[in-house]
Amino acid sequence: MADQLEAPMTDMIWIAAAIGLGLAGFAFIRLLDAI
Amino acid sequence: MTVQGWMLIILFIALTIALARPMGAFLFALYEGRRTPLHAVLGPVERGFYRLGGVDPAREQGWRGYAVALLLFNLLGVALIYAVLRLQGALPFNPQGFGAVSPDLAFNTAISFVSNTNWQSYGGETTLSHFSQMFALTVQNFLSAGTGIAIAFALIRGFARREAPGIGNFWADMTRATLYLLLPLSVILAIAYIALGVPQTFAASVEATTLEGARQTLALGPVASQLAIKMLGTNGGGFFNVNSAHPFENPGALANLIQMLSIFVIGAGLTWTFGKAVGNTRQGWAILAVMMLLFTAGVAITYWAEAAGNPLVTHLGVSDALGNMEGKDVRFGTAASALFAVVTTAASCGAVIAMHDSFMPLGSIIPLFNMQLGELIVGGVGAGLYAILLYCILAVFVAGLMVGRTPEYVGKKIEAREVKLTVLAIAVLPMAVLGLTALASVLDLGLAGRLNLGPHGFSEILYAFTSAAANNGSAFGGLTANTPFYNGLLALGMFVGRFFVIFPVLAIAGSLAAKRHTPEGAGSFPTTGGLWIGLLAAVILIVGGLTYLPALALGPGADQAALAAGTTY
Repeated sequence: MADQLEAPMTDMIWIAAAIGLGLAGFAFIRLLDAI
Repeated sequence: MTVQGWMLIILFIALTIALARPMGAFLFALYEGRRTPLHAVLGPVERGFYRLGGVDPAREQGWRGYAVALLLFNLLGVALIYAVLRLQGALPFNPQGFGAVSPDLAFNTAISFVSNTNWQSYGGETTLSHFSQMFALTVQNFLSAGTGIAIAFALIRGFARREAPGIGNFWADMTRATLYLLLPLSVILAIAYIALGVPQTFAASVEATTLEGARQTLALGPVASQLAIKMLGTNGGGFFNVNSAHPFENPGALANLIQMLSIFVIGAGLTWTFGKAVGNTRQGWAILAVMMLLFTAGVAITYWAEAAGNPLVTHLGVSDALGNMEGKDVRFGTAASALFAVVTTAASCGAVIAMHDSFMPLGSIIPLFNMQLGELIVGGVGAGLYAILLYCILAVFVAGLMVGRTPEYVGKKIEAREVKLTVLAIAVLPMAVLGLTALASVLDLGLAGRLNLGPHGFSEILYAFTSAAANNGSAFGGLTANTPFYNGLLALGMFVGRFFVIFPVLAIAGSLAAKRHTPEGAGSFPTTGGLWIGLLAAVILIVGGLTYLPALALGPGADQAALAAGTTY
């Protein structure tokens, strides 16, 4: 299993990117309410 | 061009139109939540899913509730795919012993398959285990297609309902579309593909002896099951690296025709469903007429460009009788290759049977332009209908400005909020395509990915971001995209191109559903006849043309001009 996750820091960066996209999605839904 | 080639194109268009009504009628039953013959078998499964998820399918959702449910469900899909790809080496059904997929590639692939894009920065048979292909990717092929159909249903309800607080229930729409339409049809298609020679096995490979006596290892796997939903769900992600150009993924002319028809059948059917739901099927036929008009023009241009051949090759004394055959399968030739390229880019499929990078520059303009228009010519399952309905709103707005009346469409007044949301939804795609292309075209990390220099290299970058943001997934070829830079930026394009269009569409659906029905009067602009078909087609072409013409001129346009002057890149 260790060799599967040889780059935990890199994983964290891409997981953070995915979370960021998700949050941007929720923010966009809120924004559309204002239109 | 040959008579045989044109007969194939005409046959394909005729079959697409013929299938629109029966498919549309079945989709209408699902849209209404009516009982179908399949409910006897699959009804308990559907109810089981609802019980498991604590969902009440009869509970109406407003557009925000619908959008949040959709986003949460899709984010869960991203997390699952990412986990499977990163843990691939420790998971079963991995006869080749593949290790973990790199983090950036896993991120790109997760966004790609959730957004119905299926952009692949990897070769399937050399990167992914059977488990990854089946559990992570094929499952998402169903769910992303089901999501697209659900959004189309929600927007149709917006037009069809009167003073309603809700636009349906996302969980019910997505489950019904997946369970009663995509799953049964995929089983039938997979069996048909197996009968036609497509492999369906857990074996990793088979050893073969070539005619020269050499030993060759041929990759195998559960290809037919992935192929069926790859086309039907307009996903496009191939089991093999060369996609449907591989003989195991496209064994012949009949399999090729079935694949093309399965790309279009649901999108064409949804136009009829729309007409039926708003009480006038001619509304749906008018939309399909615009789609087929633009499609026929696109096929004609691409087929003409490819059949004419490459003048530089002809100049070397090579016969141009078969046209431009670089990057094409001799089993299919220029007609079927041009037709397939236009079908796969008109829809948001992205499967290929020929390398688009090897098309003549003029031939490659149509696949690019199809995607840049937002894939509204039949389009992705569900996505095509909502994309063209955005242009319908824009077209009635333009018509309203010309005659000085509040625009109406299928009994709903189109007011400031709907027009603002429409413009926003339409503007998202060019902002993503052109913005990201510009970024990659000026950064060393972006320029390093090109195989060719000059306008052809620019076309490679433009095509990649067009394909990603339009959720098509086809690759032009040439571009080395499996780098953290491209994997990250293309994933951003895919996410924005999918969800930042979907949310305004759902907001429009909510806004329209709450409105009263306005009966058609003497001053209403007719939206079923030839005038409307011409206006809608013109608005689509003018908006698309003005937006993308400079980029197309810098890429394939300059490439064609240089080629005519004897220069290639």
